[in-house]
Amino acid sequence: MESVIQSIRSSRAYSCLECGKCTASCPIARFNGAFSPRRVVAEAIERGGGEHLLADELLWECLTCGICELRCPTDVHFGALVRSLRAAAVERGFAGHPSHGGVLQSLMRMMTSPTLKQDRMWWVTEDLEVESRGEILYFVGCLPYFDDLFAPDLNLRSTDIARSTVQLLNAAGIKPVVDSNERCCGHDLLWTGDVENFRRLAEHNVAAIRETGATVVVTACAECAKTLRDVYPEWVGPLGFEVKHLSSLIVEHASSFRFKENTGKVTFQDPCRLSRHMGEVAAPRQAMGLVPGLELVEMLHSGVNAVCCGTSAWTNCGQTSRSIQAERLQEAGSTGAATLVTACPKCQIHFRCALSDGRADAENNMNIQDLSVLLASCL
Amino acid sequence: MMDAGRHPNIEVLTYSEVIGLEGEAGSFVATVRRHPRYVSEDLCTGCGQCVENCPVVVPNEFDEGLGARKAIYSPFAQAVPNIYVIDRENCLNTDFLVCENCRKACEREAIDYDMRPEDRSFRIGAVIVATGFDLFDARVMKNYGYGLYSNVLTSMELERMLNASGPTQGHIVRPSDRKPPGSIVFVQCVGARGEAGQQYCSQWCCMNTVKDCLLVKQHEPGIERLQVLYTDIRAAGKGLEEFYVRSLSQPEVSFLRGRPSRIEEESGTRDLIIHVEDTTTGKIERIQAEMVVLASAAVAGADNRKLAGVLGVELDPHRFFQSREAEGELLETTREGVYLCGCAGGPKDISDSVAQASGAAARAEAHLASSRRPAEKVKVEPLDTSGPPRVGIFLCHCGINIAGVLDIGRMAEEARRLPHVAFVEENLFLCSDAGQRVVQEAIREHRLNRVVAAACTPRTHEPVFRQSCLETGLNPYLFEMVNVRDQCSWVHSNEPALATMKAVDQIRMAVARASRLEALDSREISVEQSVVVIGGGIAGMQAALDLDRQGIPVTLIEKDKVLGGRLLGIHRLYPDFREAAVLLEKKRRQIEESRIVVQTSSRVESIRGFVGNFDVTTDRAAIRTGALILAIGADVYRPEGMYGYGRFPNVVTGLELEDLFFASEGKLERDGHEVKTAAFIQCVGSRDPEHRVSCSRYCCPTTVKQAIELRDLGVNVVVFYRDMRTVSHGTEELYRLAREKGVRFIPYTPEHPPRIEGKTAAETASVHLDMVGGEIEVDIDLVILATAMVPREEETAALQMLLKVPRGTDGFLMERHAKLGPVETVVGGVFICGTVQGPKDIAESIAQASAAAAKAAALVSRERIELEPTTAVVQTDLCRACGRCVEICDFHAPEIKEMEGGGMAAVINQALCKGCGTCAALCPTGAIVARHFTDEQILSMIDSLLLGEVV
Amino acid sequence: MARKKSPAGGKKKKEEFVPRIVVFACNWCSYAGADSAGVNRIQYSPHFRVIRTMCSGRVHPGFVLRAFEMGADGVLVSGCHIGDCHYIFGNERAVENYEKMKALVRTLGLEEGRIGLEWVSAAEGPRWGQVIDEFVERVRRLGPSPVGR
Repeated sequence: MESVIQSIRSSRAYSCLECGKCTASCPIARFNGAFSPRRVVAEAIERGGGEHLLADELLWECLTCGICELRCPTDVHFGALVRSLRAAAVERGFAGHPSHGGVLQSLMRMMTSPTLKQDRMWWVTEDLEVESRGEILYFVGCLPYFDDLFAPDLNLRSTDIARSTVQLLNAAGIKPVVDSNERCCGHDLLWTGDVENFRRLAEHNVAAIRETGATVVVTACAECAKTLRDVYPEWVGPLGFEVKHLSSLIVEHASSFRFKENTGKVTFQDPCRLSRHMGEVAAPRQAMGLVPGLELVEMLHSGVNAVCCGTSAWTNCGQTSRSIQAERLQEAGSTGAATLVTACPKCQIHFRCALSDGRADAENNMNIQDLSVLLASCL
Repeated sequence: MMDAGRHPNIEVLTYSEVIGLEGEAGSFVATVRRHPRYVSEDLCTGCGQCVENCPVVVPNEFDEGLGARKAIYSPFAQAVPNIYVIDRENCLNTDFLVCENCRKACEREAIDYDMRPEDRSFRIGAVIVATGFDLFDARVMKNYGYGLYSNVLTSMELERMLNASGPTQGHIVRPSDRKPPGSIVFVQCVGARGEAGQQYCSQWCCMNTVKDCLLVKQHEPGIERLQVLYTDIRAAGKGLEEFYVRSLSQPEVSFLRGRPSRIEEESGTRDLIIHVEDTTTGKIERIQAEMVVLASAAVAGADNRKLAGVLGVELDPHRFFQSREAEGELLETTREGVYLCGCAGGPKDISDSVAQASGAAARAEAHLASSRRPAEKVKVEPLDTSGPPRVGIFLCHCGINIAGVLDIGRMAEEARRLPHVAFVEENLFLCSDAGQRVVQEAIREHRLNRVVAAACTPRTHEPVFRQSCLETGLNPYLFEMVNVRDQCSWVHSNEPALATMKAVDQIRMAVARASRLEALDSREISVEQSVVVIGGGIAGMQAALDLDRQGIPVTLIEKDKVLGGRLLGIHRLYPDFREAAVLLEKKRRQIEESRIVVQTSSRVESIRGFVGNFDVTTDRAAIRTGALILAIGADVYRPEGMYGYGRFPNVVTGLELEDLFFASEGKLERDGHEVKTAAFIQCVGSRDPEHRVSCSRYCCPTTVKQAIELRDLGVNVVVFYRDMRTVSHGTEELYRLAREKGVRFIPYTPEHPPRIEGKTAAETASVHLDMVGGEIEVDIDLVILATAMVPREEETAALQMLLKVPRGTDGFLMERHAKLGPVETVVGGVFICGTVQGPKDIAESIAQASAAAAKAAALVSRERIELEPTTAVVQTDLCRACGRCVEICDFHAPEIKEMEGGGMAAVINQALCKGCGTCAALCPTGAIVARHFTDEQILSMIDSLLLGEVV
Repeated sequence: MARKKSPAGGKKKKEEFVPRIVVFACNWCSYAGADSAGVNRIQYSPHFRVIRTMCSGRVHPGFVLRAFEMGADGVLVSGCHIGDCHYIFGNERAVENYEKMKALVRTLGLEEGRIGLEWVSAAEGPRWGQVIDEFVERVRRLGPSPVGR
């Protein structure tokens, strides 16, 4: 792992002009005046990542959504800097404030255990065709766990995403591999500084995927896609398989799909990982374009300029998150669309949570749907 | 003892005697003679150097002579105050001889051989006599061989042996050969129920023997036989029958109904031969036992006559203090302003004694109302607890209760290795005065900012340690307790090594938690200085009267048109056949003359609020009050279908018989027919796993009373019973009277209950009796079922819902603690009395009512009270205002509010929050902090346990 | 909140498996029941460690999962009997939480027998001993947790 000093250098923090554009772009800073990406950078430079900076609770406020990086005139990689500062903070015994009592963090860490034999295939209903070995592997991610944890409170079945994804793949003539030995991709551990356990998950997953003989890995989760495609090679070297978000795969197989007409009006929440981190802005839109009659109305901020769903890595969720979500939902509502489509299960969980409190400041009638579920419903 | 010794408003005078009482209630002058202890209370630190140097060894009275003490001694380890005393009878320093070893040993120069008795006068408002009882001298019953045969012991001697810190370290040994006995026979009623001239029942001996059987088995698992020779097993009282039933399931324990004629020693083995008839079979048994334990009865204190003379009060024929029981006043002596509680008035068990004690306090307070003052708070400069944790660990031996099982040295060694630990010390009795001083001194000397005690249970002793912390200026919430006795040494005594490992782990967990504990400050809230009593039966009336006498505003709510409750349906009361109406009339008149606000025909609709601040809404009024006393009484079991009840018109309940008494004039008639022969059936719906396991307690004395009344009306009476449990004061004597008057008592077993037969009415009662080898049949024209006392289902359930007062498995409202808090509930400011808590009779209900009044008065006589600060609070920045906490809190403590700086967040009302922490477990973002049980504190315990190191 | 390192290296002796069990006991019923077991000198297995909370409703599924994460072989939550909760319905919230944990534990592939939810009242000293003995035995039969590293 890079030292703090090394990462200050590699994240180009020294080139910061202190122009403040990042802070002005930051969704957190908009509601929490104490937080400023510029100040984090300045302190990192001045103090070299000392105790003071690492102990600062504000370090855990950042959503690592990447909007500041996008706007930065001198190309400071703020996300990378935060990532390495957090890893250094964890080394010294600091941590962010976990949501849901740390359940998800515990689950992720337990999944690093090689002797674990998960029972995570229960969502695979009989109508779905899946394989244990094959060319194309569907990486499910933590959807079964989300069902266990959130279904009762949020009226949400995250595994619908998994079922829809398999239906879509089956419709394209693909019988995907679904691996019961799959583990969490580790995205949230990586971004909250637990690099040791992230490495374990990465190594395990890459080995497990290779075991199935897959050459293409598809995922319906923006975070999984980003982590597998862009981060794993940094840690375990060349993967030997290709990683795609479901939307890209659907676009590739566009000719195989005969979607039914759907005259609904939808708007799209670009997940940070898919849009800004991976640059995949077009694919989800093209995928939706395959549905006859479907009208996509863009929000004021969309594509790489989209606003984050407000919470990241199950950490430091609170009033600020709620405010970001309320504003974003209002923006979605003002498009006149009935459905907010997203391509990351986490976006859906966070928006649904915001809607579940029944407060008037959110657009209560907004329906939230995953891209895969929307498309599968049109098969 | 600790609590009384530490209370700022209590002055304890030990080794003292009252020698005069002048004046009258409210303005007595009492003269107290303090006997010289020859050790200065101001100087003695309880270090024990004097004891080590004293050359004289004499038998220790506290250990029933089984152990030894010196001539300078402290009677027992937890004595309050822990000051030594010289027994001059045995001391070598006489007028002629000089030893002075103790004086030389005492560094504080606390020994003063010239100390003289000192008389002091006190201006007081009332006197409470709580002098207890003496134990019957079993030597009087020569046939039992006590004092003659060394392996015949009394139950009190056994008690000392069972005590882990007693003379035999908790082992049962035969005095003749110091070997554990293979068999023990317990003999009941030694010096009671007709023996040696004592007519009364000593009340607690049956349960004490049942308890001893279970304890002996645990202390000496190898014991083969524990046999109890009894006349009736009197497991009468809340939860006692359940305890008895449990002992019956032990294979080694057996009960034989019969009183021995004589006990002889077998020469050589020195075993004992007991001659007894098994009255259920009629066979004479010759039982061999390696040890005999005599259940010696309680007898009146030897000094009672002298004390009664000084106080100007009367004694009863048994030389116990005479109460005004005839008037329903068990707590009043024959002199106004002098009250009575516990066994000074006759034998009773601990819970009854505690209830009576509070009751007597309530009566006494009526004379002190003008000079009442709240407990004074000790003001101490708070210690600076900032900086890294400095944990002090104190390991209590609890005599050998802990140290006899756990390897304390090893625990201390492991504790010293833990991070943050600045000090580790062992102590023989940490809860003693001396032990607490050790803690306090260590806090000061080693600048401790966290204290961990590995001792007994926080449920009883956390307050003691917290108080000691407070006195040194250390915030009491920086104290953490590890339960290495009740949940370790006592329950894993067979596996000392594993138990020690467990203790070491729990200490490590405690250190992790302790280092994360935060100082918390108590909150003060105001108290509405009035009380609402719900239920206008005898208990509610009495509670209201006691409060009124103390000048506290009371509202008494009764659902019926008139006050009186169950008493209205009773003709005459035991033990002296006084008309219930007379007692009722007296209480009603007192209420009329009082300032009590009586609301009859009223029903409580809702109760909101919390300790000190309740809002009670009835269908007629809204009342604000500081405390509530629940006295809604109980119901009588409806024995539908049992023994022909409901089918035969001449099968009635005991309560229905009272109606017949009201109507009787010289003879008893039912539907115009004169009743010639009546049969009672006991335990209908009680002591029956199909209905209620518990014993209803009131029914045996009631049946005895009614049987006598029937005999006096010329009726022949048969009582079918299992055990006659006439334990209430004065009722054993009634039982004898009933037998003398010719009432036939026929025992039955649950396997062969009596059968009632007839065509259109009950005509015969029959029962199978082993002793006579067949059936006994009696022609009858009235059957009376002594039915169980059961909770008023609907009303009790409603109170449980409104106030969250829990109910026991028997359905009655549950007291805070069976022995230590019989009239309190777990809900602050809510007290219970009378039969809502469990079966009891009129006199017992009255005594308990006074106790509830005392507790309520203690609360509402203060303008403000402190509340626990261990509540939940919201970290506003982490709150999404999702409302989950609002949804789940049954105390309505959280609320979503607009914040000052804009935005919404939950706010928890600190006065309503009970500190359960459930909201913290359901808060999705972790915004709620359950103070003193924070996520961080709990997780640190988990991590420290499983990682094997303090995190 | 600070958190540290990985659990201390698993169980060593295979032949003599001693389960590591965390028991959460509510203050008013179960902890009191455990005290009552002591007063009655009930003897039962020492292979568990207790964490006292005021109410079983306080036990966050996160506590239970953390215990498994740190290498526990079993976790038992014990509260007042339904209807007897000192805080009215706290134990019913404990049931809700327990249902969540049960689902999570199952998906994780841990045997359901490794978690338990029991009700022990203040008066049920013997029952406390029995509950502990049975749970310890159940976990012992299941063997070491697969989470162990």
